[in-house]
Amino acid sequence: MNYSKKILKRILPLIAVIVMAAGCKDYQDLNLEPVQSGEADFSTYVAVGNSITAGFQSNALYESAQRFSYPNLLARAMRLEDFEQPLISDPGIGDPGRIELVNLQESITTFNTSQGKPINTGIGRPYNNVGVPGIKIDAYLDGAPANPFYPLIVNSGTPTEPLPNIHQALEILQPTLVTFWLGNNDVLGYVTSGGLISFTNPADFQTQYVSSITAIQNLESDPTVVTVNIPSVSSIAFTTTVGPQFQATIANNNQVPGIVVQKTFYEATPTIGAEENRQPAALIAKENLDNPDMALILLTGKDYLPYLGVSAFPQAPTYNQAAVEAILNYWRGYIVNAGLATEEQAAALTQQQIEDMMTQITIGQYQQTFGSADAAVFAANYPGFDFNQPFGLSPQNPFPNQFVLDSNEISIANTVTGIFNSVIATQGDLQFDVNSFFNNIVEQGSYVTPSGLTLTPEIGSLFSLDGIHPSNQAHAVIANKIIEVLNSGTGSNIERIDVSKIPQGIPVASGAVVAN
Amino acid sequence: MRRIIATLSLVFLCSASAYSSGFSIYEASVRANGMLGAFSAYANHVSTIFYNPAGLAGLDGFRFSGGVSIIAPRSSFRNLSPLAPAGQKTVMEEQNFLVPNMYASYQVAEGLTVGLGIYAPFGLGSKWPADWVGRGSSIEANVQTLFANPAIGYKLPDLGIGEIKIGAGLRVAFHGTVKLSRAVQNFTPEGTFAMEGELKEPAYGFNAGILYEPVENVTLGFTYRSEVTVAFEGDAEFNNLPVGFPAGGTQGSAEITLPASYVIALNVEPIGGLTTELDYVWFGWSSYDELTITFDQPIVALGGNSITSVRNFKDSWQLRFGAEYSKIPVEGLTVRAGIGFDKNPIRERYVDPTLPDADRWEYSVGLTYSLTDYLDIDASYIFIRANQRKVTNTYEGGIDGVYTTYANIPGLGISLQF
Repeated sequence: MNYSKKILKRILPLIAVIVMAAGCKDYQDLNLEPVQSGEADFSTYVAVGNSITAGFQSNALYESAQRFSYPNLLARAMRLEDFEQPLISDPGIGDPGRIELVNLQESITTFNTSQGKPINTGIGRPYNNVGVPGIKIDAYLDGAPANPFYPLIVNSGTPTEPLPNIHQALEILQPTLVTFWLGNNDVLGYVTSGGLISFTNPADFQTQYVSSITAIQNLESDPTVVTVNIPSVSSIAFTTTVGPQFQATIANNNQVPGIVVQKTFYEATPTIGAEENRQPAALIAKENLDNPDMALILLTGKDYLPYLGVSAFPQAPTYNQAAVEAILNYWRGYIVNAGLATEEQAAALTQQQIEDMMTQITIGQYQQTFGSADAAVFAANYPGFDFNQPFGLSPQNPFPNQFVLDSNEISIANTVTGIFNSVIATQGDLQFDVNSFFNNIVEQGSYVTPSGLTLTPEIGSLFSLDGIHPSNQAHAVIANKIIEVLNSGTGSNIERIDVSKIPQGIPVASGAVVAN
Repeated sequence: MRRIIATLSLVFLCSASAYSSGFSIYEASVRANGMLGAFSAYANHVSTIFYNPAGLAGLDGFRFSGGVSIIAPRSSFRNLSPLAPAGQKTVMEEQNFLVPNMYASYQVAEGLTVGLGIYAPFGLGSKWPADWVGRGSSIEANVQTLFANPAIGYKLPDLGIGEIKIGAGLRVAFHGTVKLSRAVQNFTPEGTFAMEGELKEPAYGFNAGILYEPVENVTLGFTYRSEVTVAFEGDAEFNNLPVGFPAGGTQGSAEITLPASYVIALNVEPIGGLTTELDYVWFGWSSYDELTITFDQPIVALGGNSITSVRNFKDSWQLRFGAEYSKIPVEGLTVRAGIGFDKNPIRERYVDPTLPDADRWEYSVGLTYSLTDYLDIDASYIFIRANQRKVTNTYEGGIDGVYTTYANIPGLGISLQF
């Protein structure tokens, strides 16, 4: 009995001590090891850029996507607590709106024209992410007063007080780390318009880019500057998605040798890769439709491909009233854009009138490029437009220029991109060569993340629904590449982001009624 | 245009609880709780139907016991994923679960006793804020089961090698509910998937045990419990998911194989009034390798009519030590205490917030006060402290972070004997 009491006396306090030790120990200490910034200082980070930097996706700037912008992911990886972005409520701001998925099986999309509103205005200082959708290199030092996003993003605390230029925001914030990714739009307008809108003059680009970087490097805070270059025109899903799909549909049709496309007239300009072109339209052979050096059909042309071969002649076997109306309406829009008619006037134009006006416009373009004398010769031999000919298969009813980059235009876009990138390569303390990185992904057909996730250079994977802007997961991939550049360049130890944990977040139409 | 998204992986279920490793619940009797369930060789109480049916053979007359344990798990999560700032803390919503148990036995003849037990051997419950960082993994998970266990115990005739009792029982899962919800982040705006179901039909298994007392005051026990495969079915709802999912929801069903387990127990009474016991409990959790939910119609977003999530549990074990002392100087009072270690079955890659499981230390105290010769009041208290668990390599779509979990389990019951 005494013995047992002794045992109890010894054991009970022991148990009590163990219980208390385990029960009271504070397990709430999470020892996050601080990020080593090496030779750099990551304490204040500012991201300069365009729509990609802003986190713009699927044709709109909206919060759900902005949360996954590469600057925000990078700031999180660096454990910055005060990295602010100009958030816009879903479905965001876009023209005409966010692209949303209506049907999963066939990937049918629609525009959601509702517009979001700024969320976190009035923070009393500029935002850390000053990526402004649509801006070119000149906006860094000159501002972009006409850009609707500009006052929302580049301001000193409230949207009613936009700063005169983006550099002002950096003057106020005095960043220690800057990522600078501008220049895409200096060539992208040319690409997305099928070669109709001009690119920035390369000499101007060089001047503006170098002065921008110099201004940043002269800031008192003496930041580490990472520059990011411009991806190839043929590495974005916007240019690579439709051509191969179209090729597949006509592959076995021996009657259709390819697609006849309206062309831009060019004088030869070897410095930018332009060859002389005097043809108003030309055939792109079907075997070239998946060759990114020969032809790129843009995502915007997708809707017109089903009309291929359609004739406006009611007795023709390929007559299709809806298709003819859509084709005529396209050219009515073309005439409006050329400034030759108002929308009301264009709506009243007959088929014959449209044909005549398009013929005249084409002769006028020839004259502008090669002069009156040559134009007179051209006009004498030019049969003009005739919508009774099969759409996209005849030089008289060509597939619109706006939806296609031909080999000449691809060559120009690549040359210009190369010139811009050679400027960017000399600027900043560190460079991320996203051009080579994405070219490599396109060449390989996929990218496998270190965590084993396979991503492809397609819409829904690395690209958002607009085919131009990176998806959530692509932003994480980009952030990781910048992390690699920083770690190897400054001796820092920022941890990589696990891309497989980033949700896809593909926009879907909430009112979708179409069956799945 | 081609289909643009790969099929979604709606990984679900089914883990969770702060009760015992995996989603087993070992708190099947208030009496045994006091010794932290180190009870499979002691077997002097009617709840032995759960711990070792062979123990029935030693129970005379009519016995009854009823009780309830309240399981109050508490978890918090600190984020290490790229979805939110590092270290951001989320506290699991506080929920308390009432776990009942009831046992009765009747001695039919000398050395032969029959009995019936009702208890809840598996269950889980976790609920996180609807907007929390890990909502894509789980918002709410709740699984409850009730088993009925008719059993019989028989004392073998004296063979001259010490006393041997054997017992066996039928384990019938007769009631079960499951409730799950999580956000689907593959789409913007986010949707939710929720499923609420019930046990489709009773499921059967068995338990069997042996007690061997080679010398006085030393008893060896062995108990085996078979797998029980339970099927749940119910309504699956897809909220705010207009594309790729059926609008009105659908029916879904899932099978879960609840693992087999065995116990090797040693009970020693070193001195009068003091009983000590050490139990090694093994759970065959590797049977829970994947969970498939089958829907009654094809779902475009899933690329088929079922989804399978890999769980890949591994077998696990627990070591439970308990002691009871009945000769303290208070008439009618018996006190108990216990300590145990519980190895969790979940590999790091598959840890998710439905079950923030980790290896854990458990501590218990308990008492019985005999009001009369017939009526005892039982009380117990268990405290469980799970090791902080840091997971940084979870499955695709999983959530990385640090889980901190503890649980309080008070219990109260009565025991009657005639």
